[in-house]
Amino acid sequence: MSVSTEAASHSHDVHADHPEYMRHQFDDMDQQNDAANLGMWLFLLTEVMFFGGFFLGYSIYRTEYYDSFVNGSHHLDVFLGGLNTVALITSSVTMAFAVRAAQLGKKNHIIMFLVMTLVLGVVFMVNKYLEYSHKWHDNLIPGLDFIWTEPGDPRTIQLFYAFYFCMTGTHGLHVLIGLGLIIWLVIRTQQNKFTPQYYAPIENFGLYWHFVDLVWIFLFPLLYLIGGLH
Amino acid sequence: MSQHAPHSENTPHIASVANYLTIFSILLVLTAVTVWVAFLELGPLNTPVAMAIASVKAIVVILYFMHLKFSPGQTKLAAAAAIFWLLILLIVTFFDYVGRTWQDNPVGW
Repeated sequence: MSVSTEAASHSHDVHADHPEYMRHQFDDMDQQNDAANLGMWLFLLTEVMFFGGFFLGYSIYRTEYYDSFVNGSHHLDVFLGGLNTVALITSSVTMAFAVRAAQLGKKNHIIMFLVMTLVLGVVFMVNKYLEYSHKWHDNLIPGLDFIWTEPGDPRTIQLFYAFYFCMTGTHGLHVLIGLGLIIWLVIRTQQNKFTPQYYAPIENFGLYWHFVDLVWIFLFPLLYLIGGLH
Repeated sequence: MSQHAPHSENTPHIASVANYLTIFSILLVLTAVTVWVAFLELGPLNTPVAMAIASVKAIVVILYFMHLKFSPGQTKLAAAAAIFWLLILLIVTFFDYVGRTWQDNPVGW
């Protein structure tokens, strides 16, 4: 009886020592923030290796079947791809501004910039949907419905489209997950969960979102811009 | 961009609006340059040029949007490790693949 009372009062004291958002195991917020930052970067390291496998496979087969990759690439819509590049880069800026607003403790600005990031992400996904549905109607779905009527070897051009769908699909999945997380961040911001002392979720999501932008920065020239434009 | 207050332990680096807009315009210009360069006939140089531009964009995003320039040393180490391991994955495997003597299938297969 007395032991449990003591334990309860002890844990109460520990809570009283620090704000709600600071975890027990850290000495201070600097240490907690550095740990959160390092953890996020280590996660991004695994993401780099995850996408690295795609880029490696792409490089090898592109070297092997360069002409087919050029033929396949010419069928992609450079305008939509370029538009999506601009959309993602702009969304990275709005996200950077959301983190900045969090650092300054401006709640309304956080929400405004998060919603702008969300809208640009939705624009990206709508463009992606248009591109995918166009390919569906053109019978360019590898393994399922692939009919190539233009010059070139259909088998290896199909390989290019397999890489196109795997790489942009995995990237698009990351964007979709990001859109879900933005909605969660908007709700948490609305609930006053973040302060200039504690905004690690917004900052770490920003790192994730910039990483997704980075992947697209490489995907765009590699998939859409091979062998010049004709 | 050189007018930032030095990063101290207790105050996070807060970049100016102008700083972010400068980075934004650099990224937009480089995107336009990428598309423009793709139109040019540079022969075997097209891909290296495209990758070089993409790498510059990546470095700018990592340093300024992801604040790596102002991050603690341990974070810089994690980022360097990511690039280092990616290069091992790409370069070593790629050269093994293209440098290997591939033999024809044996007769009867």
